[in-house]
This record gives sequence, structure tokens and C-alpha cells, in this order.
Amino acid sequence: MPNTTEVKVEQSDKRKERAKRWHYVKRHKSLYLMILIPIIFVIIWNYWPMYGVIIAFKDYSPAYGIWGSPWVGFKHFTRFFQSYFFGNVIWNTLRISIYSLIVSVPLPIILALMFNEIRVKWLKSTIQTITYIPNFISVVIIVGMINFFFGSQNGVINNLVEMFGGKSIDFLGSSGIFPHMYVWSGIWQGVGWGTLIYTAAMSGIPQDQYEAAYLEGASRFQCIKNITIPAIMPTIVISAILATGGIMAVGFDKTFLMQNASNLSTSEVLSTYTYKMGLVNGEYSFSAAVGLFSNLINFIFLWVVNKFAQHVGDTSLW
Amino acid sequence: MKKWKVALTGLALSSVTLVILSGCGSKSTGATKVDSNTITLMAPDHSDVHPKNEDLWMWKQYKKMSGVNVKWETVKDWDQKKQLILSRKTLPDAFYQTGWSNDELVKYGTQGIFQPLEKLIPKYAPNLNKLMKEDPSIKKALTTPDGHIYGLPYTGSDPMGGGRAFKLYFNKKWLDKLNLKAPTNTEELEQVLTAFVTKDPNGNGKADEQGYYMDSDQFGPLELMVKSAFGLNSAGRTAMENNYYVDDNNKLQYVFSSDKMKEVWEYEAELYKKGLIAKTAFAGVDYDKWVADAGKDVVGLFSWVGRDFIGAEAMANYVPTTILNGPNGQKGSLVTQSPVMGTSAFVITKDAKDPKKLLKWVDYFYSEKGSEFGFYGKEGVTYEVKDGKKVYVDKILNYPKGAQLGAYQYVDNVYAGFFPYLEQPEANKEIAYGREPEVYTDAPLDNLPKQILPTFMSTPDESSQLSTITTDMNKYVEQARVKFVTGKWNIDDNWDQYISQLKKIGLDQWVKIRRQQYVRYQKN
Amino acid sequence: MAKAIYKPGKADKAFDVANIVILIVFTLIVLYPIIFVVNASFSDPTKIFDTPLLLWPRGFSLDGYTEILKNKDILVGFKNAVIYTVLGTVVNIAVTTLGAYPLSRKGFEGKGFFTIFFTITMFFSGGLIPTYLVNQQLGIVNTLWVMILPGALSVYNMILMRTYFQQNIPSELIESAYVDGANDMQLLWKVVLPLSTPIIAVMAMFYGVGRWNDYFNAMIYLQDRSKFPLQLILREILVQGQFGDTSQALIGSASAQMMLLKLTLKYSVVVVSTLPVLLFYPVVQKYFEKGIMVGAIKG
Repeated sequence: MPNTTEVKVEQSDKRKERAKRWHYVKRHKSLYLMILIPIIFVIIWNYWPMYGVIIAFKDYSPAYGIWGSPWVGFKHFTRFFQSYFFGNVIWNTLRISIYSLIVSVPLPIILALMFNEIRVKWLKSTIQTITYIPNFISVVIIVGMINFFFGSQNGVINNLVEMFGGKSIDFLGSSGIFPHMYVWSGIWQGVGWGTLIYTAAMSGIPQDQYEAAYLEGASRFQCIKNITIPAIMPTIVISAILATGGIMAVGFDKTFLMQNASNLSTSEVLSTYTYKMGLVNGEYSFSAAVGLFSNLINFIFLWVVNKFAQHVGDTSLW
Repeated sequence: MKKWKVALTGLALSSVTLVILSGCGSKSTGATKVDSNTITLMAPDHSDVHPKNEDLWMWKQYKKMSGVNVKWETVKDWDQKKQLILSRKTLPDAFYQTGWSNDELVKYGTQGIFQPLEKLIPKYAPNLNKLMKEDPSIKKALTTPDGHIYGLPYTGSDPMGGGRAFKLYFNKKWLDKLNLKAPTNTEELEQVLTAFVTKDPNGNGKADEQGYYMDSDQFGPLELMVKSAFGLNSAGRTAMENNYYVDDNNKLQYVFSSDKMKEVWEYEAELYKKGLIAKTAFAGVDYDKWVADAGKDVVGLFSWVGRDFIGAEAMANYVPTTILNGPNGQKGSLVTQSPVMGTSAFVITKDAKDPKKLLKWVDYFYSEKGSEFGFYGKEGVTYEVKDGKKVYVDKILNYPKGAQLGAYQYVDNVYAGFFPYLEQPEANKEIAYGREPEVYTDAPLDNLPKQILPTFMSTPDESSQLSTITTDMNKYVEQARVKFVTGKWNIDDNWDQYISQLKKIGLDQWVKIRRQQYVRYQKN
Repeated sequence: MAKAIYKPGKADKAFDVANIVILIVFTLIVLYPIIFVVNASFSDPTKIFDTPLLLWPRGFSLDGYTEILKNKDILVGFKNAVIYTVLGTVVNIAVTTLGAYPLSRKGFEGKGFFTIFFTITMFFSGGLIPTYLVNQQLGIVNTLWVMILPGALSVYNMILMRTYFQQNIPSELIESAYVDGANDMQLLWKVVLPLSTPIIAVMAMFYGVGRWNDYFNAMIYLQDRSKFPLQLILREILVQGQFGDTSQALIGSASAQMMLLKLTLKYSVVVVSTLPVLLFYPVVQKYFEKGIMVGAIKG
């Protein structure tokens, strides 16, 4: 039997709490007015179309529209799970994205730290600018250059290998090499650009902290360890968390262009497989189902990693 | 500093209000009123290489001739956008020259987005009707399982024309220099290619000659020719591309599990091992690099529907073999398609008020006269007759980007195919462009396949069953092909395992459905 | 700045040398393919593949660039891309700041709810068709607005910005501003934004580059060629025939013609389309340094 006075106290506590909150909202009206604007954008372009996920459970046809198309339950999901290549495709996707996470999260941080230690201003900005360039080169050109450099006939690398008496290596047609080619060409393209966010975070560190440390005789490594890294830690954690939220997303364009019959056993990932299975035939329901599935997995990953970050440190997404 | 902040908020706020207002205020697009003499057509956008449709000479001319006013809407990236377009409230009256698969025709036809035309054709499209009477296979290829026709064909009577027939193209300079003739069978093919890669026919002292060499996506054309040599072309090219053929007992079979396919891959593996097929056959060469290489005289053999694929400069140096025979006197046949090269060249939608008028408008292009008009234009304006042959006028022939694009500045039916139209014979087209037509020494027209099947029309149920199996089998076969040809797998050891995997994916189910469709096709 | 105070020791010098050497080697690795592209853009396209290493232009030719000047589509596309990028980025930054700032405030009621409200949209979207229908209902398909308004907010960027605010705006500063009688709006204007130039510069870069490189929205929503941005034209030139175009077989000799055009244009369009961003970067970098100075003064 509940103690009535206790309940009353609880209720009045709750009421007080609510009053306090309301008071805050009233006092900081303008904060809510500000956030209203992004919320309106998100409602219009993100939440409003969201009802469309239901086509994953329907046989969507433009003839009947989204609401009018017949319900089919989990048909598209079963079709996907039962397809012969399901396991292979999931495994390929995870392999590439985990590999790329392991490499592409820490490398920009290290590079940014190294940039930060250059004392010569012009050298620093030159090197930075140069490393950003690859980010702007179109994927088609990148893949063309991969072919040019790694081709088995007249490829630059293989020419060198043969010059030193080695045997030509089939970089492009080997399923074993594909993940490396994919990930490292991505690093080449993106690592410089990836430092930008850390550079910005570092530029907020007051310079006199370093000076004080040097006066006390701290070495450069100690400064990095004790001043720079702690200062950019929140940024590191947040970008790492956000990166894990893309675990099922391996980009379509580049994979598709790098794909060939001989590396298909490792290069077929979710996005390319869905394209072949669904979009080519206009089966939007099927691709919606696959999309929903992979987003769920992404979300779970993000949630777990975020929980972990909350547990270990004090930075987290929410 | 302050100003831009103010500007920022101002802009953000005003844009939000604008959206909200416009959302309430404006009606959805595309519902403009048109008079009864105007039809609206949607077509692929090629304005990167020719004038907009409404400004094109031919369409202005045809407006005068037909008295019908066309409102064109053109679309770039058709494949990505076609589903979105169907979800619009109001559709154009018809889709012109756009690609819908047979499955889509059946699906949207059954659901009422596309109008059935089989009853209207005899009355309002007499020219097309005449063609369908002369060649019953046209009607068969267009008719769905429940007897409807939802799309008009891109058709032609010349088995060599309209991109229908694949051929082998050999480097003529090399043949002449080595004193060889273009091969006619698989054994000669091997000998000639061996001579190509070992005897330095381009005379530069380097062993840079390639045998079969194309960009890496194009192994298929060679394999089609070899399949024909080993007897898999009994139902024509479209059948092979859909992975079926018909055996001696008139039974439909899956191509990639047949014993003949074993021989095909064994033969290709042999060529590959001897270096007669470029090592880059499966990876690493893009079309543009290949075109550049062709200019350096290193391509011994390629395969395509026309030699112009290798570029205007190099093409004159290549001579065709149309029929590749097998070993031991086994006869090959021409790798050609059904006369229906496209089933969705003209599709009339639910929103068309007057389908009869649309049919009448398009039917002209299925007549001899209309076909000539679509391809050549008008005498004295776009072409002239020289020695009894129609040739484009000089301003077209001397167009800087080539005669084909030159003609495309005036007429429509010269670029990208799939028009609702009766295609001109290939030789006439070559002459029109001011080229010598290709000479065939191996009598392609006397060596047609036993029958030429189209892509079958599936019922919605069949197509949903087939699509997963087909995608997965194709993917598996694609990987297996590389392994067999490059020697990673060997036919004797790995064949059984390969077949058992195909069965796991659903080979038997696939064959069952395809056989049903073949039976249905024969009955029609 | 008081630089003279610090005198590096031996170990630190070694560190500097090693650091710079490694970075220079790395930069060369990054640089080489870029040199390749630039050289290729000045070369005779059929000769690019002749030598194993393209260290200088082969068969010098300006065709790639004259072809660009002759190509009306590219010029118009360039103009459109500039408009979409500038307008779009301004809207982006405004909307993102307005979202990030309240979320960065300690004790902001409903913070958890709002964050989740935004984060969900990173993972669940209606997909192409419903989004298309929404834009159609708004009546913005095939207008400038469809290139500006959808995608005004990247939640990813908003979270990065929020984190920056949390870390770099000392809460004492906010407290003392309140004591001085400032309200939230003034706080954002007068205290937060002046301290945030680095993150705004980075956001401008992130959003701007995203806008500049985007072709997908343009491909789906724009109909008129006169409205196409540069990237869509680029894609047309570069990807032609790469995605298994069904009508390729029927294009005939024109397809080889296009390949020749592609050969000539391929590298020069990359150079031209990359240039504006590279020119923009030094401008942005200045703001980084300003950010540092502000930090130094305040700290």
C-alpha cells in the first residue's frame, strides 16, 4: 500500500520541477525562437517525407501512390535476407567500413597534430592547402587515376615493379586487394580535408598555455599530450561517434566505378547490390526495405558507441 | 561584422516564410492547359549534342506536315528519374523514345498507367499494322501474356542494321602484312591472333600488340561470337543475352549450365593463357583509354555492332567477320536480334485524352516515306541524291564533330536508337554519312540463327520471381567466368561445384518459368 | 605575440625536423597525382598514357581549356554553381548556428529531446519519392529554391558546431554577460559569434564544398538545362558510358566522338572546377588565425 503523503510530496516535487522548467523557458524565449527555425526546416524536409518509409512494407507503384499501394508486410525484407548473396554483401560492407573507420578516424587527428607543430607559417599553410586538393577531385577521375597507376598493363606501379625484376601484380582485378585500394585511395583523398575540423578546434586553444608549459620546460610531446589533445578531445569523440553511425554506408559511386567482374566477390556492397536488385528495375519498395534495415543497424551502432562514450568520458551526442 | 549577421538572419527567416507561403499558394506544376490540337510528349534530353526538340528542323517541319502541335518535355538521366515522373499527378500524353523494360510495361499497363493499344493499332496506325502483318514476330514480341500491347516498337528489317548484329573486327593492316585472311572459325581465330601478338605486325619492334582488346567491360561481345561458334545461338542474340537458348529438341535451356558453355570457356581460357586476350579483359581499361590506344595501332581484334565504336579515324582499318564457325566444321550463325529492337519506343499514358491522334501522329514514321524523313530529312535541304543514292548535304558531312552529329542538328532519328520508327538498312546509312559500306565476305544473311526470340513478356508474378534469381545468377556467373577464363578455376575440377551453386540460387525455378514463357510464346 | 620567450631545446629541434620531413614526404605523395592531373590537362590527350610518369605535359596542348571556353554549358553551369553555393551556404550557416547555439547552452531545457529530434533525421528518411512529392507540393521543383532550401541543415555539422561552442565559449563569459544585462539574442551576436570565427569558417568550407560538389539534387529536381550546375555538366562529360548506358550501342560513331571530347576535357574541367575552392581557402584560413588571436587575447 502506497503511503499517501509520499505520493503527495512526489507530486508537489514534480509540479515544482515543471514550474521551474516553465520559468526557464519563459526567461529564455529567444533561445526557443532560434531553435524553431532549424526545427521548421527539419520538419518540412525530414519529418514530412518520413511517412514514405512505409513503402518498405508495401508494393509501391506510382499508379496507386504511397498510401494506395498494397501492404505486403515483410516480403521485401525476407527477399533480401534470403537472397543468395546476402551474407557476402553484408560481410563485404562491414569489412570495408570497419577497415576504413580504423584508418580514417585516427589519421586526420595525427595529421592535424603534425600540422599544428609546424612553426613556419607559410610552409604550414602551403602543406595544408595542398593536402585539401584531392578532396575536390571527382570520383570518376580518382578511379581513372587508380586504373592509370595500378593497371596491370603499362600501369605506373607495375612498370616499376617489373623494372626491378618483380612480377606484375593484378591490383585492380584482385578481390584480396580491393579493400586496401578502396580504403587507401579514400584516405589519400580525404585525410587532408579531415584535419580541418581539428585545426579549427586547435585554433581555439589559447597560445599562452603553450608558452607557460614551455617555460616550465615541457617537451613538445608533453605539450601535445597535455594541452592539445585534451582540448580537441570532445571533437575527436563526437566525430568518432558520428563516423560509426555510417557503418553500413559504403559509398555507391566509387565502389560501382571500381567494381569489375574479378573483384566482385569483395567489392559488392549494400549500396551497389541494392542498386542492381532494386533500382535498376524500379523496385523502390525493395530498396526502401534495404535502406531501412541498414539505417537501423547504423542507429544501433551509434547508440551503443554513444552510450559507451557517456560511460567512459563526459562527451556524448545527447 | 554586424551587417552580415543581420543579413544572415534576414535571409534565413525570409526563406522559411517563403517556403511556407509558396507551399500554400502555388499549385503543383505541369498542369498547364493545352488546346485540342496540341499533344504533350516526354523524351530523353539530348540537348548537349543537338538543338532542343522544339527548335529542331525535323520537328518544325513535321508540325507543318501533320498539323499537330507538340509540346515537348525532355528529361536528362531518364533511368534515375522515370519512377519519379510516374508519381506526378499529371503525366504527358505519351513517352517518346524512352526506355521501359518489358516488366515495367506489363506492370504499369496492368495498373492502368499505360493505355492498351492493340485495338487501336489496326485502325489508326495502318503503317505499323502493315509491318506487323508482314512479320508476325513483331506483334508477338510486343504482346503481353494477357494479350495487350502497351508500347510501340523500334523496328527494322535489316538483320545487320540498327545495332542488331555483333561482328568481329580484325586489324586489316596486320592481316595484310602477315599475309593472313580474316578468320572464319575458332581454329583460325587462334592462329591469326597468335601471329598478331608474336610477329610484330605494327613493326615498331616492341611486343605491344594485343589480340582481343577492348575496354574492360566489354568481354561480352567476344563471348557472344564464341558462343555462336559452339552452337548456343540457336535462338539469336537477345535470347543469349537473356541467358537462354533452344536445344535440338526445341526445349529452352539455360546457357551457362550447358555443356556447350564448358567448351566456350575452355576455348576462351586457352586464348587467355596464350596471351591472345588482353590481360586487362576484366579490369583496368576505360573506354577513353582504349580509344586512345586504338590510335597507336595496338588493337588486333575487337567486337561490336559497328566498327565506328573504335573512333572515326581507326575504323577504316578494321574488317568484319560476321560468322564465326566452331571446330570440326561446326557451323556458327549471325549473332543478331529480333526485328523488334525496343518495345517501349512510344508509350501512351492514362492522361492522354485522344490516343487516336497520338497514334496517327507517330504512325507516319513506320512507313517507308516517314522512315526516310526521320533519317534523311528532305531532298535539297538535308540530303541530295548522287548516282541514285541518298547522301547528306555538305554542311552535314563536314560538321566538325562528324557526319552523324551533323545530321542530328536537323533530323532526330540518327542518334541513340529506340525511336518509334522503321530503321533504315545499315548500308544505306553508311552511304548517307559518306562512307563506304562494310563488305561482308561470309554471307551473313545466309547464316541466320534457326529462330530469333525476343525478350519474353512476363506476368507480374513471373517477373517478381525471376528478378531476384536472375540478378543473383548473373552475379555468380560473372564471377565464375573470370575464374574459368583466367585459369583460377578449371573446367574439369570446378564445373560440378559451379552447377550446384547455380542450383542453390534457383536455376531450376528459373528454367521452369522461362520454359512456360517459351511455350506461351510459341502458342501466340 | 610573445614568441621570443620560447627557445627550443635539442630534442625539440629533432622533433621539428622529423615532423617537417614526414609532412613533406606526405605532401609529395598527395601532390604527385595532382601534378599529374594538371599536366594531363595541358597535354595532347592521346599521349597522356605514353610515359609511365607524367612529370610535365606531353605534346603540350591547350585544347582542354579552349574546349571549355567554347562550351556554353560549362560556362553557364559555372555561374549557376556559384549562385547555388553562395546562397546555399549562407542559409546553411544561419540555420546551423541557430540550432547549435541553444543546444550548446548549459541547462537548456529540452536539450536531450531536441538533440534526439535532430539526430533521428540522420538515420531515417522517407527516401527519394516522398521527398520529391514534398518538394513538388511546395512548388519548388525546377526552381532555384530547390537547390537552396532542402538540406539547409546538416545535423552532423550542427553537432560539431555545438561541441565547439561548448568547448570554446567559457560559461563565466556568459554569466558575466547576463550580469551586464544582455539577453540571449545579444549574447549570440556579441559574445558567441565573435569567438567562433574558426568554426564558422570551417562550416562555410564544409557546406560550401558540399554545395559545390552536389549533383544529385540538381539531377533529380532540375529540368532546364539553363539551370544545371557545373557538377551535373561534369558528370555528363565524365560518366558518359561508365554506368552501362543502354543506348550506348546505338549512339554509333558519336560515342567514340564523345570519348575524344571526354579525353580532351576530362582533366581541364577538374582543374577548373577545383580552382574556385582553392582560391577560397586562403580567405577562410585568415579567419582561423584571427580565431587564434582572439583566443590569445581573451585567455
